[in-house]
Amino acid sequence: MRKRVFLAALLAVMVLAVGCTNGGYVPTSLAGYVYVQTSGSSAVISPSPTPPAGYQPLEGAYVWLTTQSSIGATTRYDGQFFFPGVNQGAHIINVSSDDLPWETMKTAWTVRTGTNWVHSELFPGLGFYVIIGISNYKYLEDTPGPRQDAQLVQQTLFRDNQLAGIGFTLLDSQATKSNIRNRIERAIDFADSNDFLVVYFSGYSGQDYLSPYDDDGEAWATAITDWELEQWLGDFPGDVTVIIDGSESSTMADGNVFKPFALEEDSKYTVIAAAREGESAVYDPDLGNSVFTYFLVEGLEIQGGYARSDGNGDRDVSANEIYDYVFDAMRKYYENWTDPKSHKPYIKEGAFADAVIFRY
Amino acid sequence: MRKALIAVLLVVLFSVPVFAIQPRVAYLGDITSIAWMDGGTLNVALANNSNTRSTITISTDTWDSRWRPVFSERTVTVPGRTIVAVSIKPSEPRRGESINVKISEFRRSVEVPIQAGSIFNAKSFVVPANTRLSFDIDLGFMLGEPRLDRLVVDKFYEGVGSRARGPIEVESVEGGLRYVPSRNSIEYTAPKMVLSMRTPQTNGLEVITFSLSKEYSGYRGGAEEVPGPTILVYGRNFRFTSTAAADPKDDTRVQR
Repeated sequence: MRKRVFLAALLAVMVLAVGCTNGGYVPTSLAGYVYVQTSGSSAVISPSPTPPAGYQPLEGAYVWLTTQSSIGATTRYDGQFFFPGVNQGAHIINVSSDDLPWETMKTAWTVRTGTNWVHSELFPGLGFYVIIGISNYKYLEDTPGPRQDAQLVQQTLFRDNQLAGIGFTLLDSQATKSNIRNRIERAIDFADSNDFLVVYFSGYSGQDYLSPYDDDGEAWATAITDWELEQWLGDFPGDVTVIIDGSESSTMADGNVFKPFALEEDSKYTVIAAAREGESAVYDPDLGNSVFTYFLVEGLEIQGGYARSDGNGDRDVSANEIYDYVFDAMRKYYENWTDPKSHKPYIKEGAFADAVIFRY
Repeated sequence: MRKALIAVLLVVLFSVPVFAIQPRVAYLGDITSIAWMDGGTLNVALANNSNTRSTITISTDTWDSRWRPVFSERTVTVPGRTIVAVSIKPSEPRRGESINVKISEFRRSVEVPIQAGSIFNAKSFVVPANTRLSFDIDLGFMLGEPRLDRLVVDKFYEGVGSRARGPIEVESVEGGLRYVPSRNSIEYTAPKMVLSMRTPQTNGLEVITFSLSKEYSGYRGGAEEVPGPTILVYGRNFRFTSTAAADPKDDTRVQR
């Protein structure tokens, strides 16, 4: 009798265990329907088997992931593709066809457990956003503001942005020198010449350097110098916008000391800096952020249907537009620069300073 | 003759060296300048005695650990009959060296001595004429000097290169050891002295200073002069504009 009870209990446990395993396993897959506008000017990936008005299915287009090798397929007659076994995380989906406005178009999509139906416009290029904010340093004195600045920029410039993009955010102890370099290199691995990179930094900086989390404040080797940053960014195939909320940050783009390597030299770089030589960046507790970042984000806020910095009302904001807005707002905040804590923003315009970095 | 020579030698050998206290002010043409540290902020006041404006460059030869000047050179235009105070946040000098500051105009330049970390706790270094000025002097150092017999306060402050002069009053001396009967205890409070004075009456510009003397007992007794702050006093023909931060207590913004 006791033996039967034991066997029954063992069987019940086995059944439960098998049941749990089967119930817990949810395959991760990525699917969608590719449609192209009948006029041929734009394309989308939709979760619906019915194309939107003015669109038709794109048959025979090759769809693949940059972010996971060996995943690719051709769309069916109705434009559908289905990828089983996709890793969770952010992925770049590419679509190639002669019927697209650009030979290859792409978008970014974050894959979670289960079947992920993509719903996105396709773009000729993607944005890569490396967002860094350091308030608590390993060796340097803590400073209020930068962490909140980065979180706000992540929310506004990356999450609220209608342009497709991949974001890497590094806060405080995550923002070591090697991690920052690593994120830039990952962006380089995935990018092509149609993509763009936006690097935002808030934290300590000085003449020709940024301080990562592990900067000891003494040796150049622990800081990120202007030429070093240029070396990291140099392999990015598209255009690059660097936004720095830090003291004397304009010196990152002034061509000193090592001019051949400086961000100033290459027209692919646009640099927007919070302060000029000799000026300190300021955190204002009444604003809840550093002054420069506060107005940078304010410029992206929608007011009356348009972003405040969208000077031409085309629903796209370029580096030049956001700089113009920030400069004017800070001039008013600092009472025509008479405030003793004034710091003036600065722009080093690259060839792509009018390229869009934010769409709403 | 020999006796006289020996007497002179003895006087030279055994007399306590008295250092001439140099007022900590610098002159560059018509510009009178003083500099002082307020916490981590370096302040440089530039007073233009002429009726025409001057363009002055403030710079330093002190380097930080990254071999940069501890602050960037900056150029200030000082209108005629005006005092401009400039606030600078220098970075930490390498190896804890002391910061130097130079002012220059065209090819001339002069070093401005920096007043820092004294017992006088001066609240302001640029003050209007005919106003009361007071200093809370921290006397804690006296306890660490067992041979120190007394501290003598100058009777008057003196104008630098002028006849300006005014009495110094000891308003109070407090702190130190005290018996508290209710608790039957001896308690210590930081000793301090409050000095006050009225700045001279002038329409133009005066530089004033004063000092204290420490008098020591014993075999190597003598006196040591403690230089007081050097203060710019301006009259109604002068204007004072400060690019220095307003009272930091009112401004909660943080520079980094």
